[in-house]
Amino acid sequence: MEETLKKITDIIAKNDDLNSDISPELIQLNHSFKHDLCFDSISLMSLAYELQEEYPDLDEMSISEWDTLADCVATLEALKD
Amino acid sequence: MNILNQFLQCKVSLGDELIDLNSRLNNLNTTYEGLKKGSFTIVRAKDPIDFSLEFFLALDKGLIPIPVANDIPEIQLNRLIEKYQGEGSGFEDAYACLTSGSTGEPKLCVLSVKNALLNARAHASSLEISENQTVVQTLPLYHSFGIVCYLFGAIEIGFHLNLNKAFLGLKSLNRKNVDKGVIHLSPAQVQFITKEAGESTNQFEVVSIGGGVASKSSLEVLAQKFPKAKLYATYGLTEAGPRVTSGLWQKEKYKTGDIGKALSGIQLKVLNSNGELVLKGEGLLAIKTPFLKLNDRDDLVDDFYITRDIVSLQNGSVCFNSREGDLINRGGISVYPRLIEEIVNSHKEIEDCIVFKEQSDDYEEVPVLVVETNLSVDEVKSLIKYDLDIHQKPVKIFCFKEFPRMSLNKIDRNKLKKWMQYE
Repeated sequence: MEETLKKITDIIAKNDDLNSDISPELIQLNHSFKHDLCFDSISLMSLAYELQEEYPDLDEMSISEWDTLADCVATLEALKD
Repeated sequence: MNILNQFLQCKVSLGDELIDLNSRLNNLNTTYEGLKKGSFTIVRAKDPIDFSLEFFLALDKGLIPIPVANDIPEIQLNRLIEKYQGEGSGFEDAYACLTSGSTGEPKLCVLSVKNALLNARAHASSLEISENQTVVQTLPLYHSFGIVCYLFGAIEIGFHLNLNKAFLGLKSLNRKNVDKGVIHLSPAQVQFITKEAGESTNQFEVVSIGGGVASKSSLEVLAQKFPKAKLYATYGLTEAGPRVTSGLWQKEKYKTGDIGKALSGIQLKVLNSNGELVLKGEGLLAIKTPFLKLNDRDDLVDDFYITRDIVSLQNGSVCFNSREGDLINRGGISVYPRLIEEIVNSHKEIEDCIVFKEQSDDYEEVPVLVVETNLSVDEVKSLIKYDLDIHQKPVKIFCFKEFPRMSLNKIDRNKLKKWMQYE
């Protein structure tokens, strides 16, 4: 899980359009996209598109189910199975 | 046929799946039992199909639905419930939307179903939307635009309504099997789409941009992304039903701010030398709500509604110049500074606060919060974390132990802005 979280936070750190309210290195699994990172639906879609580079099977509509980073990680981990 | 049954006849899909609306209605948990006809009821649901059915079911029961976002912060939802849920409205065949009333303070505006249908038709006609097209929803369904241009539009025009649970970029739109597509975008969505490298789509015939001004350069890029589509710039406001103007984008002629001509049944004029836009017409202000106090001189002049938007008019075409007042337009979503201030001030740790608007490249305008408190910025963030909707969240917070004040204790806004520059 930590490895997957790191992939997500690396993307957030590198993408100028993803302005997280928390420094990427401080982002944790229990952080909320909306309340902690202050991501709106456009930011989430941007993140999903970036993740699809590494996870081509990721359905970007999953973002509607992502509340916390843990939800996102769970979606990505499930794709590995 | 009543409005619920008319909606049940519509062709509606969610994502890639065509939905049996009758079956979904039978499985709906909401019944609205115990509410008297004419009373307000708040409608929200995570699933767009449930939301649509609950909205029309409320109308069918003679209620006045107030559509809101499903993830509206609890403190704001509780305020709405306390103020309106179950309260008699004195209206029938109507629904209510939250609006700024052009002052930056949220109010409730009651609109008639009859006029919503008229406005849906006028809007669709101006964009040449027909029954054999598919309208792909990516703007919020619960906003006045969503209610009229998606839900009532599907009934009035008979187009295929494709609902979605998230905003879709071009990459996602290309994966959809859309035939003769129509899409309405906010300026923030236009910014996103124009940045999508290497993507374009031939599946769309109509693209409209509303809720704010898209720049000349971004529309030129957008035209390349939708090479087979006609592009339209549109303008409106909740009190007007909500669409007022639309205009076909033409590369050579378009100037940033052009929003086209009045829709059928709407009259526009410029009130004074400042260029203040006023309007009236069929489908407009059919219900004079006590909440909006439309009889006040502040809101009406010669039966024309004062929009407080500053425009220029040439041969009937409108060019939007600026918005008067404090309202913040965050990527097409209205954000009310006074609501944010009220919510932040409800915490005992906060002495006072003020919200300014700041220009943004991607979102047009964004809120900035300045707080009088002994707390740190991080402590304030944590304090208000769950109180504000994502669009209301300030992009910057400044904390000062004491605000500069003038006589009568009024905040010295100019001095405060100077302090913010030094922070």
